[in-house]
Amino acid sequence: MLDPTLPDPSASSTTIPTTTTKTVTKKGNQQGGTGIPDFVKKLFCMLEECIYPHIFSWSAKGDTFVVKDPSEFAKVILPSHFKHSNFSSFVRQLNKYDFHKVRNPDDRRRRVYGDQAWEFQHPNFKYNRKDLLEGIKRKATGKAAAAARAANNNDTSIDGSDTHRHSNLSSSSLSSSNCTKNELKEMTIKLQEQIQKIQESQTKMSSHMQLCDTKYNAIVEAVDRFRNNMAAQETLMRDIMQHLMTPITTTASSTSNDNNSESPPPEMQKLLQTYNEVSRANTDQMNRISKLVEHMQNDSVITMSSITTSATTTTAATTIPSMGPLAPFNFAIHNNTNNTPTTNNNITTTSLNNSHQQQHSYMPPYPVTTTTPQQTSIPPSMPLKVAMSSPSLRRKSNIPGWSIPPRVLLVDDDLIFRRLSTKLLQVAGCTIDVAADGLEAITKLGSGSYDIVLMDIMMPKLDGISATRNIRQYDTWTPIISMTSNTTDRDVQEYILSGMTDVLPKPLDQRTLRKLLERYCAHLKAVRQGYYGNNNVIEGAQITDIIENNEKGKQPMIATPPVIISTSSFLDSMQTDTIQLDQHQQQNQQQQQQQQQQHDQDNSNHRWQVFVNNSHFIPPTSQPTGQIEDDEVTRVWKKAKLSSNDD
Amino acid sequence: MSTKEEDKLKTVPEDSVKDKESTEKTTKDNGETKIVDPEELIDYNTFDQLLDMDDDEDHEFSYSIVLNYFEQAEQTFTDMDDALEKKDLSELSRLGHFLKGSSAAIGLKKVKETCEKIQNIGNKQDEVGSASLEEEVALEKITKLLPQVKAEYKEAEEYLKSFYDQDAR
Repeated sequence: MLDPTLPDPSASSTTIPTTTTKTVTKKGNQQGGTGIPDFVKKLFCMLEECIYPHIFSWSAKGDTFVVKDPSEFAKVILPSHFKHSNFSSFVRQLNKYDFHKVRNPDDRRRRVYGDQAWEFQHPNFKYNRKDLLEGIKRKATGKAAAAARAANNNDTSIDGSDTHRHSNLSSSSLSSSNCTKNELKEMTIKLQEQIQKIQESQTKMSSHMQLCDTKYNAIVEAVDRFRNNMAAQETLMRDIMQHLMTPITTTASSTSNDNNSESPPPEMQKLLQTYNEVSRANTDQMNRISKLVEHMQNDSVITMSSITTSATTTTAATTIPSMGPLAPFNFAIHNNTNNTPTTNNNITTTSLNNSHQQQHSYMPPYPVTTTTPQQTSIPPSMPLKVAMSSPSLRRKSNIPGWSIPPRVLLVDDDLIFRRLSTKLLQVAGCTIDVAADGLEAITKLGSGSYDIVLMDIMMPKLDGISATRNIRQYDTWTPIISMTSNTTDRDVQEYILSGMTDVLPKPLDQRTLRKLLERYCAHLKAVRQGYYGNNNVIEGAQITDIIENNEKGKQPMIATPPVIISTSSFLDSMQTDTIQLDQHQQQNQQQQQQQQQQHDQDNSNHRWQVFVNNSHFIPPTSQPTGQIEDDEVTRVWKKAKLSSNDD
Repeated sequence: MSTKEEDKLKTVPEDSVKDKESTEKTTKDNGETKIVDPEELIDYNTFDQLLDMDDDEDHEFSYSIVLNYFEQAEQTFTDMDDALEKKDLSELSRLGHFLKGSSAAIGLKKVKETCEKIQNIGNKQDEVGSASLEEEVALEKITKLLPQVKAEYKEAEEYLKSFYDQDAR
């Protein structure tokens, strides 16, 4: 029960079953009855010291910590504090203590920390909250009991610091009952503080969101105004041209822009040419901008980046032609008059070549706040492709917007294939890392995180199947897709058995690849409803957290925070107040989560669907694979494959 | 675009010096048609997808991939010659599989098929991969297949080179 003889590690270990003893033996001495596992302590100290803030530090809010550079972290920090320098072992340890990797943090965080950052969260692991640390326990039975015990012991020690540290049983048992009341009060105060902090941060976040919202609205307004200005300018120019034309040309036709006759003097022609091109470019630009603004409302910020990239690349790619006499065939395009400023189907290449000169002056400085360097690989050819065929522009605009570009690890020994696939994936909007064989793949996965792995089967050094088996030992959530030309039933069985999530036949087809990406990276797709107005992105992160939870430990489906003090022993002591407060706090958090979940039920349903589909492919790693299971798995895979082909 | 290429190809052999080379090669190989039929040679679905990835009319990207492929193929052929000399069937199979992959990625149908045959035979299975073969029979077959695949490769190489020469700046 409430054992106040705290400084004795052996005492605490005897009262708590196996878990604590394991902790003691495996992690070294438990110091001074504080009950905080050594690993957690070390971690906290490391963060406090913050020797390498660019590698490893607290997040801005202090409720998570971030490993910004896993390879550096593994090389520099891990060996000095732990006995190993393996990042995946570190991750495993974290998981054992019920730390959760924050997947898909919202865009800003990801950008700040870099694409290979790993962010971990534990409700009891917060900046400057040493007192909460003892709530962190290994994920095992009696965890709550251990937490309760530790909390109890600690609080007792805090309260009776002067008198009870070395006192004997009898006197301390008397004073312990007083202490427990005080300690409970302290607990309640702490919890209340926590709640307050949470509420504060929430209000901060919502106000920030509102700010972003207003900024966005201002931008839209500015674009609108600019559009109107352009239109006005154009009408003005047209009037000027008309005035110029009528007194000079007598034999020309009445319509100012019919230039196919030879009568207008060459200077007039030149002027008209250039004016036509300018106006065409203007309309083209305006159309593109308005289209993009429309997309903005639905899509993600990728379109913004493509505007800026297109501006930079196209000016670099084409030379700025002179305004001088152009080829005679330009006359033919004069028929494409500027009386219809909304046409964009007859734009030819030449007009675009000239348009670049204008493009810069009309390009409003879009605040590109959320692009990553890799996003510039999204087709910079957009404006030129408009010249070729507007359907192609539309196709490329229809790339499903990723709120965060999926990080793909491509493993193949063939250079040509790697280059091809890299390009395909870039076009689809992903960021790619490559490995030439199985060994390299394992290394990369050990030090970085990816949203999806495309693994070739036949490779030197280490083939795909063995590599997958190895990876699955410590990573069961990253989808690993095998790429191969062998897709017989037996082969497929073998792949699934080794831990592959799906099979992609070679040679790669863009559509199949796209479907696959949509399937396994659905959680990365741009959240359509009000990215700027809701907490949807956070909610998304929470939901994937749930998914992660389930994938890792097959825990119950509700994402409850681990601070549960509900064991029978604690209840026995009839300290119901604290329990209720705690539960209330839990309920608060749960309610918040549920509200946000209900806000976006569709998305979560879809994600559940993805999860359910995926769950079939998680191999039963601990069970011996019998014959029956193989067939079942393959059958399920086939069924899923068929249904996806029908889409 | 495919028809445009076909037309271009059909006019080019008539005009340029390269024409004589390619027609010689084709007559040497098949002994039948003078003009290479691009439809049979190239799988346009795949090739078009490759060209699609090009950023502009330059075809810079796809051209560099194709050049890469040429290098890779030549190297593989040399390796295959060595392996055949050493009568190393498994190596031949591996090389066949390797080149099959990249040929398929570019869309060179004939080369890919022959490579697949080599791969299967190297595994001591017949051309479709069902029955099994004796070692000598396998070696014999590959001895015949190797010059064939090289010829098919040359055919494809010529075609691709002319394609890019026309399209280039």
